[in-house]
Amino acid sequence: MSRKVTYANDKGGYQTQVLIKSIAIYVALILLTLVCLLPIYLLFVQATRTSVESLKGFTLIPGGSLFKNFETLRSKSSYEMYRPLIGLKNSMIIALCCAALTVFFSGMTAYGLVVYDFKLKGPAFVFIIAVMMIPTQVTSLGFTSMLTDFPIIHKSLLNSYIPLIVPAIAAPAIVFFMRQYMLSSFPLDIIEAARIDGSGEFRTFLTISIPMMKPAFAVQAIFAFIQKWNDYYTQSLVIVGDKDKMTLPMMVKAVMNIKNDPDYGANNFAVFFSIIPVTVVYIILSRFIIGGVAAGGVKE
Amino acid sequence: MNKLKKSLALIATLAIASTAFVACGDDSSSSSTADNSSSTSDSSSKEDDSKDDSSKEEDSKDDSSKEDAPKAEIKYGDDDPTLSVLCWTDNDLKNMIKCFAENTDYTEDQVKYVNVGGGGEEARDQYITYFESDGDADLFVLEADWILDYINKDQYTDPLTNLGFTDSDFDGGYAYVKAVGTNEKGVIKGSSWQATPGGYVYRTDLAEQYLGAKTPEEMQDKVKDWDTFTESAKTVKEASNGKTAMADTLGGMWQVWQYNRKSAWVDSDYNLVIDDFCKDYAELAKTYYDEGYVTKEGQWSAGWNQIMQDDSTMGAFLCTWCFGKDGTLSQMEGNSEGKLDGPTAGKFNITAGPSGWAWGGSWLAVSPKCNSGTIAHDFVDFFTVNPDTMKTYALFSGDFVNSPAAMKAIVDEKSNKNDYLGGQDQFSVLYEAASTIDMSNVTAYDSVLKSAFNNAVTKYVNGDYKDVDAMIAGFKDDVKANVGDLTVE
Amino acid sequence: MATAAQSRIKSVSYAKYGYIFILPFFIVYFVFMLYPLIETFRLAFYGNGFTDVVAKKGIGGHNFVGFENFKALLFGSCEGKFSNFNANHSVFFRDFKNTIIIWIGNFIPQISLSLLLAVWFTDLNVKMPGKGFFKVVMYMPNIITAASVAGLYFALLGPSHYSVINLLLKTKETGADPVKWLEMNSVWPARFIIMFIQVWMWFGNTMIMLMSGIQGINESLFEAAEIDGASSSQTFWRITLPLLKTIMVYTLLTSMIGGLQMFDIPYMLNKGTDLNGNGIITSCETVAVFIYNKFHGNDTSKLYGISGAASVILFIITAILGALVFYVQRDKDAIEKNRKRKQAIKEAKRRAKGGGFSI
Repeated sequence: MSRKVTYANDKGGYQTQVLIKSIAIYVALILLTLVCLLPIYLLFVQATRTSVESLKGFTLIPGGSLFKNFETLRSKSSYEMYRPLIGLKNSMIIALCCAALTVFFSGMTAYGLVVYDFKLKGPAFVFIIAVMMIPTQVTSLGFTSMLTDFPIIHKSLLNSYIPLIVPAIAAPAIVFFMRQYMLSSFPLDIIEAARIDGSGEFRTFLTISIPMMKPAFAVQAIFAFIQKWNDYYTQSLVIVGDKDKMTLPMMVKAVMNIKNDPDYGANNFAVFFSIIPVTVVYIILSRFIIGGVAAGGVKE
Repeated sequence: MNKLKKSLALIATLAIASTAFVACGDDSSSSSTADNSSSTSDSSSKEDDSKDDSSKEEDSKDDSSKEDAPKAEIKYGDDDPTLSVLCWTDNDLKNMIKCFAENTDYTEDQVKYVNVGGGGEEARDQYITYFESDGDADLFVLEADWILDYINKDQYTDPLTNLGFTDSDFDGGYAYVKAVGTNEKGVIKGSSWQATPGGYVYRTDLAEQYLGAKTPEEMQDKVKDWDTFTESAKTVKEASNGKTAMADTLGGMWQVWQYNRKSAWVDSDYNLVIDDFCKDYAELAKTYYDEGYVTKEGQWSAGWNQIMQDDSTMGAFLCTWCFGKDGTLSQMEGNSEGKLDGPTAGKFNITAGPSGWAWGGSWLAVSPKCNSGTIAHDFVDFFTVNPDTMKTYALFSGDFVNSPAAMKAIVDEKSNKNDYLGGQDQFSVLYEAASTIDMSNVTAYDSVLKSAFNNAVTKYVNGDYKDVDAMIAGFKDDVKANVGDLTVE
Repeated sequence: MATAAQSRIKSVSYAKYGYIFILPFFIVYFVFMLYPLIETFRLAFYGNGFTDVVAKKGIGGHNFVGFENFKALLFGSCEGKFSNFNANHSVFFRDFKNTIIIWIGNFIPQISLSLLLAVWFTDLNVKMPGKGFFKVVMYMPNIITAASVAGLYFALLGPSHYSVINLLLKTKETGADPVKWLEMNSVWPARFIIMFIQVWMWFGNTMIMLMSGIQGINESLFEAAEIDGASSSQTFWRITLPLLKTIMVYTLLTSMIGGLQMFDIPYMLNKGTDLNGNGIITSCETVAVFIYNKFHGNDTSKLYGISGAASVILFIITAILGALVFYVQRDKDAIEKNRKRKQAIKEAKRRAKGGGFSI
């Protein structure tokens, strides 16, 4: 965000004060950065060490076995379950579809709740908030038994991506976020202006509000992507016994489960490898947050 | 969304716990050893070939002839020529499938490993889900801790007689293995390829230095029962200035103790049984912990490996599946893969220890969905009934098979040398221990009760309870909170 | 402001679009999530365990038991065959206390830090090269799965002689007892560590949400304040915070729900502290962990009823607190809106009578 304002009345004292403040903030930020990056760095270091080395605890100095660990992971027969490209593809499909569906439909639902007045608007909103508050720990039983014999169609949805992807459409917390965001920073006048210009409701939503909501969409897309990427639990409930559909976290878990002759270097590499795609996606999407795209177009 | 769903998302991602330590829990599977079981003169070459199955033997050696006259009828058709074996890991199955293919007319493609669940605890829940899917299921693997969940339910498991076996077919194996595989109605539903006796593995150099024991026999004399073991612990502590403990972890000691409990945890009227065992163990654990006779590390932690390398402990309680190639013991010695370059490589020996015990184990059960009857029969027969083929498998994989006859033959041949044990043959020691194992008083409540008891003991040794009685009271409350069936006095 | 014509358009002819826009959400929700949800509530009224013994007693998972589970949890006053489960009463309340303590210790630092950073990052005055880099980095802890995070922290601060902290303190060499912050019976050190991890994992997330909210605030307001000579704190209290209110409500509510249902770190951090390599640090066992543990046992200890009842209780408490948060903010907001709406309608009527039309 670039809000460079130049002031005619800048005085020396004021400048110094700003400078001191900036330095203090800077130091604090560097400390925070270290605290935030250290664990990821440690994961990286662990991935570069041999099995024996990594059992000796942490160190800050990377070892020289990064490539060897990768080789072990790829070639050792007990690591057959680990097929990173297939896992990557599967995880990507799930996480990307989920992120896209989640932000689009949450944005749409929120739009419906904010822009229009209708009788059930209040109850609908209360419902969404209420379901957000339900503890998730015990719903897995119902979820699994529902999948084995899905209502109405009476088909098993096990080993299908449908139950992993489609429910992303209904994400109460994200709807709530989008609604709050729209309430705070979405000028409804613009919609009315669009209407007067003869724009249809869906066109207005697609071409006017989505671009204006970019920061919110980007933020929630990141969150949704990362959450789905790491959602080992749901994935393991749905993908049962089908090797070709396993996701990357499932493969990492399979690797971790090798008991006879585990190679901890290779295991650590697997863990580290699995966070690379998320990091890349995060960095790409984070441009939307950092860059000055906020609330683009609304100038009064 | 994140904060909410994250919890769901991460519930079971435990094993992705990166880091150096990978916990296996106290479940088990057998070890696969390529080099420690090295075998009779003629099979050593076969072993080396096991990695590249280039030299698959065409002739079926000595097994198929035995199977041609099943004493009972196989109740399943052969609609599916491929046998599907369900498990959460192919640690064992990989070797088993290879060995099966090499020694029978079947090919490796005819036995399929189906992965269900990311770990034993997950598979326990997920088998049920899998059975309801349209996936093929013939045989599946159960763990000692939760085998009763399945063999007591007819919708998930069929009796092994349906595969054409008679009950007496399983008499050749260890009695305890058979007992565990038998359900509450006395029907045999599970059969194991392995027995999992354990012993006490100790540092030979430290034993000589502190206890003057030069051979495993002399060492066994220093650890022959728990009183002597404690005496030795005191000696070692004094001689080493408190640096060296006698036992590795409380977890290890517990495994030995719990297998030696005489009474069942629950009696026939569903009363929780608390007897001297509970008090004795709690007191012993407390003494050991306070006195430094046992280290303060946790089993399956990174520290567990370290103590075996830096003189923190004289030894550890380990069992059959710890001695494989690059297996638990090898890691504990700090060896790199395939080498003997750890700080304590080969400096260990094994003795029977204060009492015989066993640790975990896996059983094969047959699903009512089975549609590959003949091959399922042959597979179960090959690994769990026929002593000849079981011996073949023992030599092939290094596993301690569930056949005293086969193990005796191997011990008598005196050909097995384990490098991690300085060339000692662990089979000969464990063979003795295996015969004493008794698991006849296993109940369906064991895993809940044992874990509750263990939690209580952990708190007790850490000073949370003022005495054993308070600990027992806490344990009882925990049991009440979790089990509605039992009468807790 | 809405003019008469616009209001009329809005409140009359466009209502159906509201339904159309929210329809996909509700269809998917009902198809995929309603059944598991109903199942949870149903379970709360059924018994516990799936053995023949409990079935015979009439207290098993297949038996309808009415409110017994709630009685056991809330009052510990069940009698007869259900009385074993009374032992859950004190555990449940202990876990509730733990949850609230950990949540407060996590929420306050987290929201303060996030807000401070969000304001810094959007502050005109703070000249900061590499601002973008910092913003990105703050979120990084959230990328790693909680399991890995727990594993890392356990390796750093665990009670083993070989954990990083104990290696640094040389407890092994000096023969001292290792620091046992994450031992099963540790109280405040363990809670503090969990609070710290929670803050560490989530402050970036909260910060980004707040920043997206601040960025939604019209820039010209900040510029105007700047020109009028407002100090940073004045800008913050008078402009940023009030305009951030809706997003703050979101943050407050989600954090409250997340806090009450905190599960992953408390559950996983202490894996490996008991003799079997399992075990929960008692002082850090949260209600969600309680629910999960009761739910995942074997046949003898699958306490679906207790677990379901605890979920329902947790849900009710969350809902009450959530309603409170809403009430506090909704108050003025809704009143204001209502007032405006009424005014608009009135005006519309008046205009309609008068036939005036203005844009």
